[in-house]
Amino acid sequence: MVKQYYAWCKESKQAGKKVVWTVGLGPNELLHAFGLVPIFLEQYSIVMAGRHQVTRYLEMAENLGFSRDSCSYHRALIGYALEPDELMIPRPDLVLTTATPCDSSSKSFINVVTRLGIPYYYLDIPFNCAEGAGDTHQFDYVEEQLKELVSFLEKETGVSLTSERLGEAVGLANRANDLWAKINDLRKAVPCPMTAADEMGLAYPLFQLPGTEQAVQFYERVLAEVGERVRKGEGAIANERYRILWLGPAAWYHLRLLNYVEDYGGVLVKSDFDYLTHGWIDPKNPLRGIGEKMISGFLNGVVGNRIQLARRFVQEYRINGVIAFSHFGCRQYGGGQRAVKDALFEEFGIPTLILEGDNIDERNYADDQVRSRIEDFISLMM
Amino acid sequence: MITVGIDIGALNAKAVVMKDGTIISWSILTTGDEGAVVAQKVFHAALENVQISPKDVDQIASTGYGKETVLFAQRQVPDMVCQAKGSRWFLPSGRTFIDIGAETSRAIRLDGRGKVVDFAVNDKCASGTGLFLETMAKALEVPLADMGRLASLSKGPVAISSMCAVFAESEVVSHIHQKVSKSDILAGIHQSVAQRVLGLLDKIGIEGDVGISGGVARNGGVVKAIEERIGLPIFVPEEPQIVEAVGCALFVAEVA
Repeated sequence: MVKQYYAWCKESKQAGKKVVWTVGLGPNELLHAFGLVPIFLEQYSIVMAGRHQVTRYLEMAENLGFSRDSCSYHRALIGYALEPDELMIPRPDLVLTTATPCDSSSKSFINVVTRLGIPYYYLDIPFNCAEGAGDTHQFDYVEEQLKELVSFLEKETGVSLTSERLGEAVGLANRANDLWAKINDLRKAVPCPMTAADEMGLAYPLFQLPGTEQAVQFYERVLAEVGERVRKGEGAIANERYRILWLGPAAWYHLRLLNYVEDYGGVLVKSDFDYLTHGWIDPKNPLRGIGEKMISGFLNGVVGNRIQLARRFVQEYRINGVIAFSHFGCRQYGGGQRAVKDALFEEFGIPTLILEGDNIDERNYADDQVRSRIEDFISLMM
Repeated sequence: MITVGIDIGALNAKAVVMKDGTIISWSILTTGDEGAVVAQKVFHAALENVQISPKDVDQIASTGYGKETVLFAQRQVPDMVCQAKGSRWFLPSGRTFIDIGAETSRAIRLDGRGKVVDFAVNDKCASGTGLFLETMAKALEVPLADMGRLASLSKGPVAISSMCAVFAESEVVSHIHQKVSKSDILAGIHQSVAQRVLGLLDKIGIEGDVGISGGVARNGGVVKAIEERIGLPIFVPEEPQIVEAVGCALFVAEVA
């Protein structure tokens, strides 16, 4: 599906459509409504890391003076901007960046924009300072920006966005979202029918393709397949003993890591990865709804929201232990993990392993150490 | 029941023979290149001490970095489980235990029943472990066994501030060139190890009596430096290197 999408991106560029380099938590449904070609750059880095091809771009950014201690996703995209015509994805015509999940993306995208001399829009998403969904002032603030973004995109594309077209895209995004929610419901079954490793791949359309028919059709198929497994009582592993929650994205260059717990009868039943972008949009007020979804994301706010989400997963998915992958250089994920760990231990008495590593930079990865940490962690549940 | 626990560490291989919960023999050898070969050697050496034949052994289990190389073991036991079990055997009142091996230092906290509730391990860097101390001993041309005694003569420890084992060695060399006494440098090295261990203990929180195991526990200077930092006495078993092998032999006796 990713391959097909990138091929479509290249064809669309050749056919004269405008390509937008953007972030995973941007308003991608709005970009699809415009008939633009959005490319979620972190996803591209995930693909490149999986193919062990991202290091070259990290080194290019490092040679410019960017520290190896900074977030590798951002270093990678700075590298891509230096060689935009060598990539599997087309050169961008526009950039759309946001302050969520991290404000550093705006800074690193500035490098792309200045190097390539292209227009950009920065969507300033305010930090959600209270537990819950955000407040009216924040929704007003983002709605105004989204209106401005629509004008910007109309000017750049020469296309006027009709309310029908936006309504259609939001309707499709909501349908994909509802299907995903049903899949998640089915995943509460014991034994676990679909692991967090599956989720990491299958959640891709939620990020990249909200507002498209493809996403809806894809999740209809996934729902049917997961439903079938649950009906047959088929588990991802035989003799499931420990049900584990995974927090954060994975080490994309070494996905086997997500299976290590299986050697001990553990299975990663759920992650919070999908919830980075999983959310419903009010179809009656689509622009405001898109803003609400972005503000209310669990990573765009106080740690209490993350604790609440993890608590919910622990209860609904009958979790025995948690692995929190802490991406080097990430202030959003890493910062609150201790608080999540302490809250879950206090309430449920379950252990959390905070596993430090990098999502895409494999140069710091030591497999023996990671295996040994996972074995120690499993010992806590024995 | 006779059980044998074999702990193949990064530097040393240990085997402990237990009979009905009592240690009757042990052996320690250098691991070398071939885990499978040393596993056989250390196993037989421990049995020969008490003239027990391998066929009289009821259960054999392995643990440690090279546990998979012990092909004749009936069971592999996670390192941390062995640390917890072995440590409690030596110090039943203990709730917080530190293990400093050649490449790994780990702190664990147990509940009242001996179950591990939290742990912390050194990541990425060997600073603060046995190999770090060996490197420092070589740089200072001091026998490993004399490090603790020499450090106790220190009049004022120097600071070893580097986060990296290799850079810390450069720091030590620079202190040597500045004619700082070996005792003061050693005391500084021990404090830097203690600082690392304190970081692990801070992550898990100290509760109850504290014990230490692993080869580094034989260095009195390190133990003293940690005791000073935490303000508590630390129990050191007579042979701290065999603690995980003891835990391994105990574990397999329980589950057999």
